[in-house]
Amino acid sequence: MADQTVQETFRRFSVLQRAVHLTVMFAFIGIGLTGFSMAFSSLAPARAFVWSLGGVESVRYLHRVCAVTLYLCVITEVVWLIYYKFLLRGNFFGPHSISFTKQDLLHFRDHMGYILALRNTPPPFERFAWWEKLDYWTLFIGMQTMGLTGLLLWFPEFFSRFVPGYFINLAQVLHFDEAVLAVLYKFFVHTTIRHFRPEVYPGDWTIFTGKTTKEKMMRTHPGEWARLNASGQIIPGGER
Amino acid sequence: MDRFPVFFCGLIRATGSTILQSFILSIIASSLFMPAYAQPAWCGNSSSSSDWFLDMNRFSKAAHWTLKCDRCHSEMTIKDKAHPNRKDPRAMKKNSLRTYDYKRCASCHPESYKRYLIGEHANALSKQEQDQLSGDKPVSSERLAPTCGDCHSSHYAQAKLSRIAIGEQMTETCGKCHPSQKISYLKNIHGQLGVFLQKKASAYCTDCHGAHTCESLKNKEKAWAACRRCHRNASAGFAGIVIHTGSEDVLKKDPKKQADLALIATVKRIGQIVTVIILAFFALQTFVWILRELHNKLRGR
Repeated sequence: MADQTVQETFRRFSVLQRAVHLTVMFAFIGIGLTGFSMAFSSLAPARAFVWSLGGVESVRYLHRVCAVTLYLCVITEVVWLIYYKFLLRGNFFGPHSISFTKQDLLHFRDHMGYILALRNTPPPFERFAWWEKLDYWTLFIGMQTMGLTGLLLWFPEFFSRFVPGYFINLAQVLHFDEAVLAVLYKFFVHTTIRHFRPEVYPGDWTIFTGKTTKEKMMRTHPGEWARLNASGQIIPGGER
Repeated sequence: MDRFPVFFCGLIRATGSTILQSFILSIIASSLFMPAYAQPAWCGNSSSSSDWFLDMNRFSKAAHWTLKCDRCHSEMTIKDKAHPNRKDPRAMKKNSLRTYDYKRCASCHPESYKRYLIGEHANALSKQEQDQLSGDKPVSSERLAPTCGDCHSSHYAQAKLSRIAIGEQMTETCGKCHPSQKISYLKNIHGQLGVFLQKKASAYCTDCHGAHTCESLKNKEKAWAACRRCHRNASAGFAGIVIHTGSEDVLKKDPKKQADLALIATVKRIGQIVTVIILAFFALQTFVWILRELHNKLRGR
């Protein structure tokens, strides 16, 4: 018999968070495709892609549009951070925060133990598990370095007034290496962890709908569930 | 698709004799399956650009097609002897590139020839000739510095090519003697944009090194002037960007640039190692994680 009871749903992500994720997602796919099609222009498929977008001029333009969009998302996050800290009087290192704390190291250790079958259960993750925090911060910090090296490549005439010329070469090397790292990490590792693990397969739509269920929360973020229960903050379908 | 067998059957029936059939089929097969270098000259792919023998099919498409032979070849002398020198049976076996008097090109291309004479290639050639005369450093005829014919095919070079087509040809031509520079150029933004992505505003070899002068840009001032031809706001530091980053491209006499290249190579290597380690860790971790969850699911937990 199928369970006919309506599942209790909770809001996990706000509209802003979902909008930023969606924007970052599309801009990231765009910047990755345009960037690699230029970096691997010696290969015919890359040239075919560039041609299909109307030549290298429009590909460069799109790459920069995506870059600016991504950085605007970073600025949005920083503005939100200021709002959260000074107007909402939020706690940077509380259990609901995305910041890394000592607890995450312990969770990481225990989680590795679980993966290697040394423990029977995963650790009681709080609102954000260690890999969720890693996903966030790799992109946040990665955007600073990609942005900096990208600016050096965008305006070499300007920046070479302040730094030696070979810094532009270094910027090119680092921009490419980090692009490979970021794209392979986000396209394969991030996607697999969030959608293709047996636990979440065929997909975890929470980041797009913003909704999570009681059952899912108890399974994936038991620490958060226990804390909310203890403090009596649970309001189904509403803001926490 | 089913028209093709019908077409071939018709063709074979029409030709009648079996010898003719096999001849036609062998021509079709050879033009389809033979590699370009193995195809005969009538395919229009003769590899040598300047030779004693002329491929009229290609010559008829070339820039010099309108000239009569004697415009370039009359009153020709080789080392003060008339050509063809009937007394010397080896004359035809000599490399025509080294025996032709390229001063003749100057009669129609005076500016190019003048620039060639003040350029690095003419410089190198005269140095080699002096060395050979003094017997210091004998150079084999294949390694001699180039004259007009080494870079330009006088019989087959076409006129009115697009800037991009010229740039592509130039990369190949210069790359014959400067292969490591060709590789590093094609890895550089200029080569990628100009050759692979067909952006004609990009710089090809001669845009920086000068047409026919073929200057080395080791001198910072010269390099800066070359940069500013396109990057008008470039500062002196801009010329410090290394374009040819291959290890063979930089002379040992330039320790500053050597150090820059070593730093770039080190950063590149560290970046690659870090990238591989991080990706390998997460790929392995995710894989084992999936196995663990599969195990749980199969156990019904």
